Amino acid sequence: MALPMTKSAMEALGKRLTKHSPPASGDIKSLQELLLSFDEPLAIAVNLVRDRLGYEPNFRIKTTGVILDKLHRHGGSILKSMQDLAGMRIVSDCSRHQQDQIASQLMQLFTELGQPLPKLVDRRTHPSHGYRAVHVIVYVDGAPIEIQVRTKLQHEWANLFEKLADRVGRGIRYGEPPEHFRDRMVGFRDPEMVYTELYKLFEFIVRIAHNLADQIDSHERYAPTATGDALVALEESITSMFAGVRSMIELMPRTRRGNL
Amino acid sequence: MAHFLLVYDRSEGRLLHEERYESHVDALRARFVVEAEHESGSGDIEVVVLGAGSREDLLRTHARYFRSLEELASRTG
Repeated sequence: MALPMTKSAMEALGKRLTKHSPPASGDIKSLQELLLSFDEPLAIAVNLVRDRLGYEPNFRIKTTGVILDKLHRHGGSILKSMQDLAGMRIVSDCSRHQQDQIASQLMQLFTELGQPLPKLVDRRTHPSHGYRAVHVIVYVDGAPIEIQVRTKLQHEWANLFEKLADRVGRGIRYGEPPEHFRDRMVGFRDPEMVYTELYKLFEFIVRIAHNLADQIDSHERYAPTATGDALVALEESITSMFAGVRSMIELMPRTRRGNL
Repeated sequence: MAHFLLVYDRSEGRLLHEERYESHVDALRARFVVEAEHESGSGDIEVVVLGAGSREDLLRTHARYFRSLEELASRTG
């Protein structure tokens, strides 16, 4: 067992981490030890994917800020069941079918390591607020590692949405409305009106971004059977929607921390 | 394999610091130090360590840290 603490100890740690803000330094230290314990299993998994399958994944241990955010959002006890504390990402200029094949290769490779068996999470059939990809949860020495497999278009969208979330509030990644910024409406003659209009604009852009994700999904579903003009039309539609989102973003004022 | 410590300001959409490490554990320990300086990376400052075959790989898979929102919304930009 690679992890330095039991599930119940992890649950207790997660609860303590949400109890105080900022958390006690001893609890942060315990979390860091937990995160460090993922280093070796993650390295083993990355090397397996590189050497046996020939992919070049990038990898990371989840940031402390995002972990704390998730614990506050879902409750501290979720720490024990978080499966993406360590993760890697494969981005491939591939079709939906090829994406399935990559996921199958991963499933097969890590099944050879024995229990617990890898798990497939298809976020194309169950998208998370627009986000689509195929995730494979694998286990090395009992430590879960999430492998994200994204097509190029899914990845472009995810990058765009993450960046949009930086601008209007990280909560949009979880289906929450754009962050309220009423307190930053200082210096306007009619702050309430500016706030109301900006809020509507942000909501609209998020909705368009969700539509773009749906459009990409349709494109990837139907591209294999589409030919000639139909295929060109699908691709042009995606590019136009990206351009549309870009145009709206360029019109957006910056609303966070003194940028208005 | 290289490991990159990145300090990123979400509100500004700007990379504040980038440092390359040969060891993942060394990079993680450096991350913890920087996180402590920024209250565990809460708020608008994100402190992350990313491993990649090269910096170019990283630019491709984690473009958010390196490119503007406008650039990411452009399929040609």
